[in-house]
Amino acid sequence: MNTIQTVCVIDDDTIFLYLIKKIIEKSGVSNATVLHENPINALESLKKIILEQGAFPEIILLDINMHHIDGWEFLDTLLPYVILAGTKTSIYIASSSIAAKDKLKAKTYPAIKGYLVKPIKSEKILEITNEFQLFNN
Amino acid sequence: MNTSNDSLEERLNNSLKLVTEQNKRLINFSYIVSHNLRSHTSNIKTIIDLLQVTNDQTERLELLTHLKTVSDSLDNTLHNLNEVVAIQTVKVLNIETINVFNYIEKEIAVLSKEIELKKASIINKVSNDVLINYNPAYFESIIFNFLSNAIKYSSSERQPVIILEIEFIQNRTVLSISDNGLGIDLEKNADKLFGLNKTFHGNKDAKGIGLFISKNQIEAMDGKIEVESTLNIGTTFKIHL
Repeated sequence: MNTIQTVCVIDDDTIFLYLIKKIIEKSGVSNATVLHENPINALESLKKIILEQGAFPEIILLDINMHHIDGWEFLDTLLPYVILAGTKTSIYIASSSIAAKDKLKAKTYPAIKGYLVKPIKSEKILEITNEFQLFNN
Repeated sequence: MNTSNDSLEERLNNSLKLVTEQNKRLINFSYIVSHNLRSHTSNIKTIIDLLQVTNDQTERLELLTHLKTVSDSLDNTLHNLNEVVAIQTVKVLNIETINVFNYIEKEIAVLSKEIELKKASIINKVSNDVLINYNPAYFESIIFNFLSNAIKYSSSERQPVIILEIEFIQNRTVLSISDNGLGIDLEKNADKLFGLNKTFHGNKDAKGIGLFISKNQIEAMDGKIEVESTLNIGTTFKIHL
């Protein structure tokens, strides 16, 4: 099976972070899982990778409802960097919200590859990694 | 003829405003029920799935510890939501004559640990002869929520000072609570301030729910709340009792 380097998960629910790491490890698709509980720190770290031309995570799972800043503000700040640098990454919303307003809003961002409703199973992780490889190889 | 038409229109407009407001609150409430309950249940589902395929004892123990935390958070969320529902459904409220000064002093005593920890100074400027007719439980909870909020979001750069005052505006008693804390960017966060947009999982921070409950209680007593705030200067809440 083909693996990718890094999946990055941004969510202020620490139990979800612990669980998704297990799920990603079990699916065996990624060499590393980077977890961010604080979206502001995540922003700084991802911007730094782009500016220093480091290895950007191939897949990002992003929560919407977070303290400090929400997922939308996060994207509004990060996306200009991603687009300007032409960074290859697949961003997915990972939320427990099934509200239509959130799903519709996700559709207004061309950079968002999909909307995952929690709980997220390892099959889903396999599916999105395959998608990433189809698009980028 | 004209005057009666005007007042009819005014009444219609008021009803429309009321219904719109109630509708907004209901949508907000169902959103939070959906989101907050689902965030817990989806964690529970994943934990159970993992427990079924994991034999490693250390990992199983870790998962069980997390299950306990999620179950506590779920319980806490349900408790909070119940409280909100209770405010919306109680039709006849128990009203008593309350001495505002004494109630504030009581809540200051309840919060003494937090006050000491932040070395905050709480100045109760309300004169001790101000009496209001109010639901005692609501008033306690309102004072507690605004005080604890002001303490929690105080600035580490200066000694927290919180001032409580009464003014009378158009026959209405208005309690103002001013702090010199972090302040809120109202342009960006006005709708989030009293809404239930933020999650409150993990018990570590019940941000959002307290002010949401207070706002509902104030409105259930036919009052309203106003807020003025400047980032890094402070916030003033005016509660029309």
